[in-house]
Amino acid sequence: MKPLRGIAAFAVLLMAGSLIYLYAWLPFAWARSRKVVESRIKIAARTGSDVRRVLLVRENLKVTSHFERLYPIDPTVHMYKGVSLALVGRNSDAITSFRRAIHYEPRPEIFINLGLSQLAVGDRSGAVESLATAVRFDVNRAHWIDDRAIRTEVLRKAADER
Amino acid sequence: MISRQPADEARPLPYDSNLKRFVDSLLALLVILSVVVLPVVVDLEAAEPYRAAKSALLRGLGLGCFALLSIRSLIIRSDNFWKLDPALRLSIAVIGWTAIATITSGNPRVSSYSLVTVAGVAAIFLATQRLARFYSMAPFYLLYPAAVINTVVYVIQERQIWTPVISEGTAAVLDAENLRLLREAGLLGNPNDIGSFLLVPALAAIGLVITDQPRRRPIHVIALLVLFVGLLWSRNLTAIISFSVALLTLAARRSRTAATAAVVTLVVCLLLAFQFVTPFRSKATDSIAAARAGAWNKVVSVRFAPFATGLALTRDNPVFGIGPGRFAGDYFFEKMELVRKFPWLGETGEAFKASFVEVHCDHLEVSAETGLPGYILFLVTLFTLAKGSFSPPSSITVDDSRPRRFAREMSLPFAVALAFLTLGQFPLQLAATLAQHAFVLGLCNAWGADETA
Repeated sequence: MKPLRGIAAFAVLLMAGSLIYLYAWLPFAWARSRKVVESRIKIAARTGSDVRRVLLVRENLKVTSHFERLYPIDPTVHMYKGVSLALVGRNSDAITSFRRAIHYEPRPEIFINLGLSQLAVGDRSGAVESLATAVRFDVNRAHWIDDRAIRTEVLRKAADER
Repeated sequence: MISRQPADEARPLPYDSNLKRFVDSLLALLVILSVVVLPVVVDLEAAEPYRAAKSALLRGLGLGCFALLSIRSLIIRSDNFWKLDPALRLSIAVIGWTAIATITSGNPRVSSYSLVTVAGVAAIFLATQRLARFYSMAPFYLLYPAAVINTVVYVIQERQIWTPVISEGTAAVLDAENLRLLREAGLLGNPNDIGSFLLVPALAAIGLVITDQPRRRPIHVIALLVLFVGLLWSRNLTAIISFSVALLTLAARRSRTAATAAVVTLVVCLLLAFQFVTPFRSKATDSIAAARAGAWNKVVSVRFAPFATGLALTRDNPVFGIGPGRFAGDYFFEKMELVRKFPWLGETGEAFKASFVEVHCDHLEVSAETGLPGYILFLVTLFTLAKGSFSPPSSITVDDSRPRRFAREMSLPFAVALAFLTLGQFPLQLAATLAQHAFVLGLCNAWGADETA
């Protein structure tokens, strides 16, 4: 019986190690990576150089794609991936990422990003729906919408649905 | 004739093998890390330096405890470590129900993280409960270091004497309001977290003044003063009220004179704090003004919306709840639905704009996420903590060991304090306070239970 118990104990250790990696190490690692991803997004958004923007976004996508597979429950993983994709004009892919973020934790800022990406691909009705959802939650978010006509339509829709 | 004070009842270590000693030493180390080190861990390289690192560390330490307890049961069979006492039954029930709520959750993958946290914390509780009797009064002192460090760091941050944690990189990516909150957060992340964290050590200091050796009392008095000032400085009215109620509970169980003295002392301390502790004065003044104006939502820091959402989710999912850790995911749409029905919930204010990740009332959060059976288990846990005090004070004799006297004096006040704290705060969602409460529950259960149980 003793060898069996030893094998069982070893199996327990292996399982504990795997769980510690998945449930403790990955969230910790994302919390660190997130700061770097955020600062790259800020730089990429401000830079006038297309090449620099693409390089920064490529680095961000490497990081977010890694965590998307292993630690998908954090909505910021998908949100930052979506924002990075939108910065280089890949708005269709950004929409997919924003929808994944909303699946895990809907937030007004994610709906705003989703709406802006939908506008960029020409889906006006979808964009108004997403932006109105954000504005219904918090009317102060409307100032994020630059287009005056869209903003008016969104405010009207949000007020109607209240 | 006065009986000689007996030695504290630390049993001799019953180790009949090096392996058992090694495993138990590792368990003790993990428990100590969760109580002493975890609350002061800060990750300066993270976007959020405080809570994320602590949550990750709590899961790691908890899983480590769980693994060691499992290994102990597999390879060491010769002692009573695994007798099916109330503590083990409670742990099995809590983990079991959380697992069921995870399976039935709206998003089991999200809930699995909470399940792992619950299992880990239960393991810390069990390890503490099993090992505490080997160590007499020493474990109680473990509550001090992290609490005193956080108090000191918080006060010097709040006074803007020094802000030791915020790096330039973090400051560059934050807006002014979040930067201010991070600057005045001790090592925990938020002034409210500070208040929630200091409650139990401050009460423990009172218990140690009463029950520990007379030559150590000055240390406990100094610790009590430091922690009480930190509690007042934290602006956490819920924690201050919880402390007051617990203190009155302790005093009332002793004698009417003690209760009267406690009331007078509390009133004097609060009046002095109002005069000299600026954060407490400003918070109390704002709350009183809001109450006078009938702005009750402002009195509870604009939390009617998450409270109402927690109630609505409990009503809609009374048996299994929405799933552990799922409140943040369900809050958005549920809250908008409630504001449509009850527009007064849509009161504007800074906190209103927040997408609440927690209910800010653990009673409602537990019932919303794990259903009414989960909430009943939560109440049973509080009752288990309180049970250690159910021998009347008169039955505590000088022949009782100090740890047993501490547990019998303080178990009920701790339970009352936690019951009140969880009404307006969320200590069960914060790694540092959760580990601390599991530890205290383990200590009180170890010493407060009858010897024959």
